[in-house]
Amino acid sequence: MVERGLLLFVLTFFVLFLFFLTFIFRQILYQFLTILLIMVLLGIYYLFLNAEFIAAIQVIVYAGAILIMFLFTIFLFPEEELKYSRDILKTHYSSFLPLGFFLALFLFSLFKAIPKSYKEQNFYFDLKILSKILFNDYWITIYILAFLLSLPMIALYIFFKREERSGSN
Amino acid sequence: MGLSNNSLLFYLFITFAEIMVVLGIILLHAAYTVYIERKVIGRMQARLGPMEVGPYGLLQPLADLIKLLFKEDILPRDSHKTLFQIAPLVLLACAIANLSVIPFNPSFLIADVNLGVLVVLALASLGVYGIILAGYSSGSKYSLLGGLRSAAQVLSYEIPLGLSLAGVILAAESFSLKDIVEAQAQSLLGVYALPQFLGFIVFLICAFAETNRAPFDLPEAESELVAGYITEYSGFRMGLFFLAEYISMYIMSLLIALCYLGGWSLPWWLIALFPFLQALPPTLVLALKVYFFIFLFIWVRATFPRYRFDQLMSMSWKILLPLSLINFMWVAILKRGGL
Repeated sequence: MVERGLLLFVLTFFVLFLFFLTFIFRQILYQFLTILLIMVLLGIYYLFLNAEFIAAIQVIVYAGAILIMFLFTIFLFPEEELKYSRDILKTHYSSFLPLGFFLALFLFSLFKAIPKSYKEQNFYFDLKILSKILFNDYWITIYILAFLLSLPMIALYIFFKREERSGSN
Repeated sequence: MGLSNNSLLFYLFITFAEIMVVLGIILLHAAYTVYIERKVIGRMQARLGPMEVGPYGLLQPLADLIKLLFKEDILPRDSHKTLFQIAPLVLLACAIANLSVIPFNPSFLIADVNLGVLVVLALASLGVYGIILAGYSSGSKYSLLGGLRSAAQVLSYEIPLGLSLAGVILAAESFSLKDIVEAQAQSLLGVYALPQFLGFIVFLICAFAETNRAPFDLPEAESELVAGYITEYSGFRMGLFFLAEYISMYIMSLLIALCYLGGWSLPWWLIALFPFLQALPPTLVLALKVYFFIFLFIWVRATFPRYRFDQLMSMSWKILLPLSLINFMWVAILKRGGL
């Protein structure tokens, strides 16, 4: 169990490190790559919960399909926007707001999850229980996530419409 | 783990030896598949193919390897240097990692994973990042278009591929490739390719698209995009792309052989017709099936013209996706009927 705990610690360190890099990198593509790595690492988190099926689905669906759509959207950006985002740290302090929000949320969950006494536990994963929790207790989060994931597609549609309009003019 | 230090070391040593054996065999196969491809296509076009290096040109792969290794490694001025350098490695690593969950006979596989099929699908979906990043990081319009085409192509064809595999998983009631082969051996016809003919055809077509092979090699269409995402690559990095492509061909051929043709087992009716086939070792049976599909890859390349991009997309979404869904429902009906 000690090795397992250590591995979990290292994994969490990497996830947090990549999370910070997402905000620190200046180019959208590098930011995207850090998100991709986080998605893959989340799959490993599921392995820690003995949820191999969800781990594989996490990688196939999120890292393999949804993020490719994100990348597709990034590719359709004009090249200048990718290159000249260098002053984002100096000018867009608002980008640190979500970082602060997520960090606070993370620390809150972390402190809440600290057990009063440490005792070895056998994790047992049940897909039905997880589904019940996700779709009953956290249904708002699921809806928000679904909405957020549809944003790139909407952005792509608007982008094409604008291109069409400027082309016809 | 519950293992003592000595047994852990022994386990690690055995795993390392298994990896070396698989890697050595697959690299040799990949090198000589290039040779066979050139020979077969040469014959189909009334040429001899490579004949200069060694007897019958047998040392041509070695000559190609030396040439690729000693060529200058050019980094284009406008490229994203780091991404440009790691992109072929991403593709190759994902292709090679697939081999870890594929069983080569009933007792030889590197990692006995319960979700073997899903691991292969996950690694296939990650491997495409190598192509996309190579396309983007090259700083060339041809490469970028190749990367974009690849993103759309792989995304479109992964869905029917996964759905056709879902039929196999439903029939075998397991995600493990080893269990799928064993379930086929106990099934009525001995192979899943016959009761799930639709799924077999869909998977075969998707395998061509997933490996970016002709007639779906649009990401590297020579007549339109020079060489697509490989345009700016030279030397050993270009060699890595080709190596990954040939390893992917083997992975897909292995998957088809394992999931649809009974893997290392032969159907009972074939053994009843030709009893001497029972004497064949399991690995050889699997290898023969894989070689047939490799030949098919080469044959199709020499025969079919390249699809247009809109044809490629409509084929995936309008034809293959409904067909794979019909196949899935058909398997469900068969399962319900106890077949």
